[in-house]
Amino acid sequence: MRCRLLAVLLLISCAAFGQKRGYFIFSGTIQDLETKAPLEGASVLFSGLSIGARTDSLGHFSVTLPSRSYQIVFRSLGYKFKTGRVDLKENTRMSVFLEKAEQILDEVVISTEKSDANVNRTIMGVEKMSSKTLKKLPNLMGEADVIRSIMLLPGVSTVGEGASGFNVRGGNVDQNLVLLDGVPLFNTSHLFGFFTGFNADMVQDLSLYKGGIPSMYGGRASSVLDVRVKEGNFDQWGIQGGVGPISSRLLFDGPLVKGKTSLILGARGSISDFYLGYFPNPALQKSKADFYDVNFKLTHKLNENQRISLSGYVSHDGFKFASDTLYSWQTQSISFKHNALWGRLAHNFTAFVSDYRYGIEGMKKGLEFDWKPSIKQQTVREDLSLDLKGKGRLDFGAEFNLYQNDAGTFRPTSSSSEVNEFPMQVENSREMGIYVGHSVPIGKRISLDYGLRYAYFQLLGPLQTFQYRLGTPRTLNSLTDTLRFASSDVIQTYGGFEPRVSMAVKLDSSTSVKFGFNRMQQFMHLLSNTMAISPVDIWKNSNAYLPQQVADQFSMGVFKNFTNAQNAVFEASAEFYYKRLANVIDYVDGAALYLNPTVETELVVGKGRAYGAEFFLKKARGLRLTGWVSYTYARSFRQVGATDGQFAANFGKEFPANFDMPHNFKFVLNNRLTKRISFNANFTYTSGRPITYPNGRYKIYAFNDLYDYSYANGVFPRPGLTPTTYQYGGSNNTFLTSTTIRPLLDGYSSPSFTLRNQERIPFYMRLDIGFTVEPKEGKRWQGSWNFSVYNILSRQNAYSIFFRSSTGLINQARTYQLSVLGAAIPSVTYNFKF
Amino acid sequence: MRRILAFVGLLGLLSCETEITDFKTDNLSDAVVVYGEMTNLAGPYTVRLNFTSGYSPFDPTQFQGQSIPGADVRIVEESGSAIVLKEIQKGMYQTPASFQGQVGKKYRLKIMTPDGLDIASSWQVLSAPTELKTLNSKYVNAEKVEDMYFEMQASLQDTRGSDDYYFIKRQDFIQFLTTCPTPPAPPAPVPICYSKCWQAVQNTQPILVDDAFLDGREIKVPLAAIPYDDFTEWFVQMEVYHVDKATHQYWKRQEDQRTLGGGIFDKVPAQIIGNLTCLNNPDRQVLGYFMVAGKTKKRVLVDRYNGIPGASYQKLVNLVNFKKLRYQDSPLWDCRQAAWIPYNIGLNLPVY
Repeated sequence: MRCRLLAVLLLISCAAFGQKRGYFIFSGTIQDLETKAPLEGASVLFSGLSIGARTDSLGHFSVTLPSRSYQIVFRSLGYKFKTGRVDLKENTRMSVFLEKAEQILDEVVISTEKSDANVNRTIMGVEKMSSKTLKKLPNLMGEADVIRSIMLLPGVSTVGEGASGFNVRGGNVDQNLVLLDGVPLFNTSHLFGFFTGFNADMVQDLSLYKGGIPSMYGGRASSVLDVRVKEGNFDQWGIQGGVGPISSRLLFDGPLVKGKTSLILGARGSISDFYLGYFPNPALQKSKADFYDVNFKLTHKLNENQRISLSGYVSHDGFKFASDTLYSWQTQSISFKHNALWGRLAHNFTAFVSDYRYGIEGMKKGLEFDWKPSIKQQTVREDLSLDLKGKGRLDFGAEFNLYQNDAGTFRPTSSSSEVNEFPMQVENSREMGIYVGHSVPIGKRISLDYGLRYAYFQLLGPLQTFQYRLGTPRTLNSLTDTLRFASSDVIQTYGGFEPRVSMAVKLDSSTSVKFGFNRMQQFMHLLSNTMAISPVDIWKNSNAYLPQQVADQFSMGVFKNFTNAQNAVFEASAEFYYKRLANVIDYVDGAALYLNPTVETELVVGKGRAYGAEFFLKKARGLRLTGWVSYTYARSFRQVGATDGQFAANFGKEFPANFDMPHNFKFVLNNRLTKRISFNANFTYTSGRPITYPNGRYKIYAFNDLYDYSYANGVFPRPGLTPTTYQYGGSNNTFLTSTTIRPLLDGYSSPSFTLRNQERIPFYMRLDIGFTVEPKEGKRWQGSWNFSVYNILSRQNAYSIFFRSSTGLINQARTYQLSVLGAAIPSVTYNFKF
Repeated sequence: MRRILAFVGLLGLLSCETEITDFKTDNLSDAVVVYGEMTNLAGPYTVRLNFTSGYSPFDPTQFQGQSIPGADVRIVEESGSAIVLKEIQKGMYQTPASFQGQVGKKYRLKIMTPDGLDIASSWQVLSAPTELKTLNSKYVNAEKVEDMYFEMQASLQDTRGSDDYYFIKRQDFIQFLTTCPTPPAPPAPVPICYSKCWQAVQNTQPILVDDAFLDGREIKVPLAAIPYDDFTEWFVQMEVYHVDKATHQYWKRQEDQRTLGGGIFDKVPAQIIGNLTCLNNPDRQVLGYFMVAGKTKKRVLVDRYNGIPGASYQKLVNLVNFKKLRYQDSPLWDCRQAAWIPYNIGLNLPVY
């Protein structure tokens, strides 16, 4: 019934695709005059009309207008505007090339959009960042970094320095859909999380959807980070690169067939293994910390309205620190796209295959092994967008995903290895999504975006699953039966509608109020009970014990833009949200998640809620100074009650999520000192993350056989002598005095913990600064320098406070604080382009 | 230099771990701590009852929790018969010497505290004991005497087809020599000189072994080496408990908690609950464990005198003199009185 309803909606949509009398289609592309790169978000405005058109990611626009003459203005941020005239008597197409604005002092920090887009756009909770902005932010060790950069935006946080992934509006790390040119990534990190797993040079721009998520996106519960990769230049070859302390980069792009086919190829590799050999420390010499990533994109224009592209991405990490264990993770993907503009209908077809492998390799002599879980994803999707002739735009489409989730068989890797093979299963599943969304203006003041997505998931055979005794929590002892499914069997299905609604009410030309609701579902889950996720944490499909995670978000916001006497543009906003989460995964205390065939006995399912307010003030344009300041108050809680099938966590009481950090203050500044030199700074303050503190300590008297024996046999107590020292005549004198030999009763000392996450580690504060020296104008070789100091305050921010149990005589459980990157880290990077 | 700094930072070496010495809690927990074990070897078996203490590592008054005297403590067999434990010290309860666990039988601990808490362990099966297959030492020579050591090797022969878990205690007995005073001038009688005693530093570090991925194989037991810092005798005693998975997991979690580094791979801390519960007040936490397991003991002598190359031995002799390991500055006739030696157990080793 649900599918039929969607089919009807799609038919209605297609029926709307007809030509109305007296109206004609005006379409075209807007590109950069120099590089011929398509310009997304460029606007096309018509005389006498309140509506306009905006270009899509390929620089295409299409709008249906009444037949008459129009004066047209083409605008894009950072470019000189261009005017034109059209006499619309038939369907008309136009290619427009915009010239970059000359060395102006106006600098837009965080937008590829019109400066009033935040007010006019219907949806909220969206942040966009250009590659230019990305590279101007001060960074760690000279590496421009996507995920570190989005951490500077309101509503985005992390559990700690160097932790992999990010948290958006109270959601878990695995609830973010990170798309690299449309391909989802299961791991976004290099070096455990210090750096993002893809090259910032390849990034055209990125959009982070925290709320108001369009219906075309699905599969994750909290947010979408959509990163678009650049296309190669269609006219001339260019090379750019950079040399930094951690990695070096090189990027080529240019035409294979001039004006028709282009290629862009970028590669980045760490040079840290090179250093290691020079360290006198044997532990470091035995260590390994390498990574690389390669992207390419081959684009061919079939004609002015159609193009195809083939993209590839490879990322690899290997890390070993003076031990016999090598951690590794790698992603490989290849995707094909076909984009076309047929009249008022824009078509985007995508097919891709991705393979994410991760795991551990043991190299200890006689115990050599490897454990390499993997996820293979095969996807086809079709996204269509229809211009409704002044009545908005209809987006609709479908996607089909196949997953092969291999939990990783533990295998000996040499003939002398003594370990046995331990097989784990491969889970097959498919996930389908179909959606429709309609953007429509209602009168002059109100605009509405509404849509519906239906997602459907099937867990497929062949698979062996386990059943547990009803009415008791799942444990190994309650396991009652093993079920074996054949390859044709559908083991478990989940599905549901995901409504998405956004509405903006414009109060005046610079002020709007917006409301939104969206529901997201997630069928793949990352299992991690460590402080931060690790690259070898396993992904798990939904099954009989793990229903899909569902997130409902309600949000509202007020947006206001204003300018001052110097024509500087300020954007201000206040957004409020409430999110409720169903079926979030938690863990029994001390859960063992790796190589566990009955891992469901370690998992519990609960609910969550998050709410917050985000206040944002951005100086989007200014003569010299641009930047933003934001304050976020955000809370996130979880609750796991006991049910027939599981134990409660935290006695069933609600507790703050591991990343619940209520106060976030961020400040980003970009000051152009001269035409070539700019100064950048960012400052971050966040509340400490929650932690479970001990409420006492206890001894386990498991090692007192000798003590008991000695007392029982009269060995203790007994008289003895002990040296005593006294000073006389300027010299130390030692003699023996009487004492009683009475050893201490001692044991294994452990902290006793109380309710989960009731306290916090100290707050986090960091200031980074940087200078960028741009290349001289007019030179073929364009070299630029980036000098930065990360954590210039040298503040030793607490990464964690932890409590160790203790053994040994008279040792007690103790408290420690760990600081990561607790010193100022300067770096210099040279970038070039020719 | 900048690059080196940057890379060192990358490896986390710019990270720093500092102890927080002023972290303190009053004892906010009212949990009862129980620890006891019974095996197939002859008793008596001991059970200790305590409360938790305050979290104050450097406060001697909080060194150990208050003991719980006056409790009714019993070990119940599956047939229903119960053995009552006698309180021999405050909070320390012991079975009669005649009581001995039998392999294959189920036992549980039952406690009624003076304030009415009814505490019980889950039923525990006494498993068949497993002996160490090998236990020996091997001298490893080196240029510097500080680098010479005895490698300790031990192994277990695992049974194929079953999941096996082992909890192992190691207790070392080290002979030490003292110097007797100069004898009195004749004709005064010369007192007997007792200069060879044994030290047995208490070791509270468990060794956990399991047959995951090694089913049916000979499993090596990781053992710390013995230093060649003296040529006196050194005994290593191993006690192997063949435990169930739950017991192993309990100790594994304790060990995880002990080896925390505060980094990204640390599990979120949580209370470690064993196999004991308070039946009449489920909200009252009971910490600790009642361990029931088949147990074997093995002791091996590490001969640090014979079979050592002459040159190496001479280097050791120089070191012993340099470090004054014979306690020449504190001469005494009877080494049993040397109170400065931790866990000085006197002239004799415990009965094996």
